[in-house]
Amino acid sequence: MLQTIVNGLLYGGTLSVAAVGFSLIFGVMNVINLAHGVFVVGGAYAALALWTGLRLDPILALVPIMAGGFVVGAAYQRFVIGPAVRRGSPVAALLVTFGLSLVVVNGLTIVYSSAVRNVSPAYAFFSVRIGDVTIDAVRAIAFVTALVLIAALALFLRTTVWGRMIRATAQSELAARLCGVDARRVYALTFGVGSAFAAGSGVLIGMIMPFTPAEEVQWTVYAFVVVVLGGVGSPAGAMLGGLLLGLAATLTQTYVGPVYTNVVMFMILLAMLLVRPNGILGSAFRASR
Amino acid sequence: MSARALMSVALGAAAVGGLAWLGTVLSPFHLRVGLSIFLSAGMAIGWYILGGFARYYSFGHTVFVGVGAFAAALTLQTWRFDGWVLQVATGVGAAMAASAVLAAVIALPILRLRGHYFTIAMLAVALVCAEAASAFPVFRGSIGLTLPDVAPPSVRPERFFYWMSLGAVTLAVAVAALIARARLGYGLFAIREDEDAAQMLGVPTTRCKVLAFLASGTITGLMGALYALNLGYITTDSVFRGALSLDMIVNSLVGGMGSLFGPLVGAVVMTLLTKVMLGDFLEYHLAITGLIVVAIVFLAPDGLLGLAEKAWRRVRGGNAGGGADPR
Amino acid sequence: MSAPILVAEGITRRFGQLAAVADVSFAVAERTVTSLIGPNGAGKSTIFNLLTGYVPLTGGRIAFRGTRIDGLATHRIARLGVARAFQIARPFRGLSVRDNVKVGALYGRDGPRDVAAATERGLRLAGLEAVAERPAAELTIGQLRRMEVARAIAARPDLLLADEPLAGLNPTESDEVLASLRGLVGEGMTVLLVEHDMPAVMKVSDRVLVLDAGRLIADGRPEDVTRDPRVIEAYLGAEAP
Repeated sequence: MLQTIVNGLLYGGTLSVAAVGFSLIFGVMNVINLAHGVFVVGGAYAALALWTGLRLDPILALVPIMAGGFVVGAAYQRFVIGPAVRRGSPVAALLVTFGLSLVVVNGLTIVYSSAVRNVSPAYAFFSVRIGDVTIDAVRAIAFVTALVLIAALALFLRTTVWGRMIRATAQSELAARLCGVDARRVYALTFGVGSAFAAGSGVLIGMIMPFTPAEEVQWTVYAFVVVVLGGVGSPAGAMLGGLLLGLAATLTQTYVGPVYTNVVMFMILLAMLLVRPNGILGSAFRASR
Repeated sequence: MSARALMSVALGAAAVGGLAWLGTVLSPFHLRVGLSIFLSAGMAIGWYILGGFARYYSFGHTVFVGVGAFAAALTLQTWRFDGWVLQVATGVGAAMAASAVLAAVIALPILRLRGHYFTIAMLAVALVCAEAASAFPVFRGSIGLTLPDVAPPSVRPERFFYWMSLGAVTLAVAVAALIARARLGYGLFAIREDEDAAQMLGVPTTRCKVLAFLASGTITGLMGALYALNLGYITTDSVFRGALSLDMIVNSLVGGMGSLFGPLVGAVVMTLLTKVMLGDFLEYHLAITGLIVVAIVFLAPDGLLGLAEKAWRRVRGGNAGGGADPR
Repeated sequence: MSAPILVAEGITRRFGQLAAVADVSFAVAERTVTSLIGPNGAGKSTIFNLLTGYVPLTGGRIAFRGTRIDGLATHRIARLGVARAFQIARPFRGLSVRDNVKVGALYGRDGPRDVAAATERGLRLAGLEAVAERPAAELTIGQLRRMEVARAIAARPDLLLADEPLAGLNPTESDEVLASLRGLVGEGMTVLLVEHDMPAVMKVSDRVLVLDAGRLIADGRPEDVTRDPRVIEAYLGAEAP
């Protein structure tokens, strides 16, 4: 039991990072980024490429991969999502994110095939025993990294000028604009940060579990579940939602059967949407019902 | 029935008759093209009953294709009838029943959600059902299921399925057209335009959405059964496919969301484009479809029919010597 | 005066600490135009939201033709014969004017009966026949306002709740709308009106209810209400003669 809870929390940390970017983008721009899972999976493949090509340790690879995620995400917002929202509607943006995610998945499948991959650095096989609980080194490292990343994002949003601009825009785009905030740049920045975290979580995921290109849908849906659990827009909410989801997933896997993991997650999602659409911590869920 | 309605029924009947006759003369290759068009048109119409009429965009409609396909395969393996009529009736009947049940079970919770939330919840439904089909041994989704060859020996299988799917798409269009003209249709249009205002005008929005969802799911399930029977062998991956959900949306979008002709036109154009003209690049199919979505959103937000209408208005407006369009 | 069609007893709505409507009771007599007036924020729109079930009550009860309607779903109340025309017109932009009105007729009281006739009547009473085939998105503000009324009366309601139907209209358009409201009473309907245009209210109303800060402070014939010192103080203030 204790072992399961520990595993669940360790897994949950990674889920939190995977969701926090989605949450930020949704909270600030009210756009559901259906390509979010693509950034996650893309991060995992980038880590794989750097590992097999340059023997670069995945933790070190986080830096270039998150930077890359930021640039791609910001450009994506600037040149694709933004124009789509302006020309059409949020639904148009949704369709565009869906369409482009298919393009990337198709590309990844062609390059890497649909086979299951993983990234296994040298320490992937170490583990530590504390009492009855075994902790894999790689999971612990991923978890600590996840905590550091989320804390860094929370600090960024709270203390920096740009972080405050993001939060102000999330409250009211118009008001922020009237105070001299360039909303377009804030949007690009938000998308960049969100995508960087998605790509970063992909690296962590690549370390602790196998992955395929087609899994992107799953990561988008997980991110959504985490956001629904924790509430939109806040790193703390994403952390809480991620840990809860990690626990739920691991407990289900151990005591009910791995087959039911997604079923249970889905039930949680539906129940939350119906009972408490603002998330456990509560936040502005504008368009739900 | 009004004169205009009679006219459209007559035109529709003539079109179906013509297409059925074409089935007797086309080459096997062209029959397969026609079959692909009908199947994707039927699915697109199924999707459109909810997505087009009420603008509830389901991104997980492949779930009904999958459930229909599995229901048909499993019943036909359990009960082995002789004669194609009985076989098709069993398979298709089981598919429609299973899809209707699924739709009925998830309708109430899921249709309380609006906008993005509905969209992503449907994505989750599709994900979960696909997993279940693979994971539970009873469904044998990961090994695959073989369906009996239902085409009678006297007819080429391509021709048989060409006619079957033509029949199914005719049914789909008829149901959709009836809904559009009925009270339910007006309720759905009102929901599409402004759900709160619709409710205050007395439209029972929940009931309208549930009914549309049932019709939509059942028709998509029917197409799923034919899709599976034509394939002859299905796995989870071949029928629970995000690409199928996408095709339904894209076909409607490419044709235009303004009328039932949209998904039909879209299915014809997209099938010819992706399966025939770009048939040699099958592995890039998804990427091409994705790019077309992006292009449509940016270049022709009202679809091909919308473009055509605009062009027509411009031509006519030019002749009349003034812009008719006040915008 | 005839029997009341609508009775509100002690209706209350709190939003957190704020009582937007506090213990308000009134009755609306059948075949009359009754107006609800009061300064901005007095709770008029909240009362409409409560009457149509769009916002639930936190206290009190509402009866329509002797039947409790508080707690019913919005569309059920509409089906019983209570229709609402919005202050800010909420047209179905993508549909033609006729189809907008037709939705009202299809889902009106007693379900779809004589849909075509009800639609035409709505269009005629609101003077919209000339633009019936145009998309609603192309109408002027005045036409949209009239379409709200047409859509509501196509539902054959017994009671029409009209939320500032005159706002933003020019005098000619105002007079047209007022005339059509009086016409509705002539055809057996009852109208409950929220309106800021005082001369219009005085001209058209049989009875006036005055709200201030969520409370009912006066209730009577128009000429009596304008002389009520509390009303003058609370609402008419310096503008009063």
